[in-house]
Amino acid sequence: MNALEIYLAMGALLFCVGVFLILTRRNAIMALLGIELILNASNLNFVAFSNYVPGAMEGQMAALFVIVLAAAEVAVAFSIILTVYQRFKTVHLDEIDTMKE
Amino acid sequence: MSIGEIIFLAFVGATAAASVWLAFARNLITAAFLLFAVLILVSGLYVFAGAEFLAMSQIIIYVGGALIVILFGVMLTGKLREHKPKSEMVNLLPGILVAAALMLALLFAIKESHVGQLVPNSIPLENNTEAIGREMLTNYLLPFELVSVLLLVVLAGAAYLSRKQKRNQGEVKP
Repeated sequence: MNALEIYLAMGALLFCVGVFLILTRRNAIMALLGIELILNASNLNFVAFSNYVPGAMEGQMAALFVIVLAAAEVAVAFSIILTVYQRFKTVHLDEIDTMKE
Repeated sequence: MSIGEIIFLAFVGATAAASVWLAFARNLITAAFLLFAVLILVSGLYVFAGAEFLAMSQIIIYVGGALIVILFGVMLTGKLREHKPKSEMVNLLPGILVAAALMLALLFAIKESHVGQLVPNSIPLENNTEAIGREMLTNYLLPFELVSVLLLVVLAGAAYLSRKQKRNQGEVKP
């Protein structure tokens, strides 16, 4: 079990915790936390592999762009949550069901 | 076991503990601060992988940007005057089963790919920040420009979505 396997296992753990958060939480902010964890897990995988290919910067560049995109996505997701809160007065996802029959 | 390996394993253990605690935290503020801990510890793991610029960018953008936005979200939508900001868990058993199955599948893939035989890089010849700067302006110029356009669009979209609505029968126009 060398360092690369530890990095990949840590990425897998963060990914699974993020999926668990999205599946089991009904608050929109907690789902946003889960998405952030998933993006961090993929970043960790990118950076771990970039350390093991000689002279390559692709992993770190990909991780840098993923960080930028994650920040942009948090901004848009937060504005959507604010709009939903203004309309429904709640962010509990079970109570936002006007599109159901 | 050198002291560097011990510190690396300490970072890995702390990240694992913080993320598992975050999975079962019921208070929103606890969850936000645990995410803060996970982001900083993952930034430390980036330093161990030789990506110092990325570690600093992670702290600046994620902790100083995205986490603050999430805390704003908790503050503005949590109805904090009435009760504590809590978030209950639903579908606990199916969630645990799916997450555990996903974890086992990923660990099996890691083991079967035998990545343990790869050799880590030696000490790089040039500064990490210089390398990223050079790559960004030569090989990655197109994604760089596209990301700046994307940020402009995100700025306009977020500002438009969160404008103050006029109170017309409580209807909100998206």
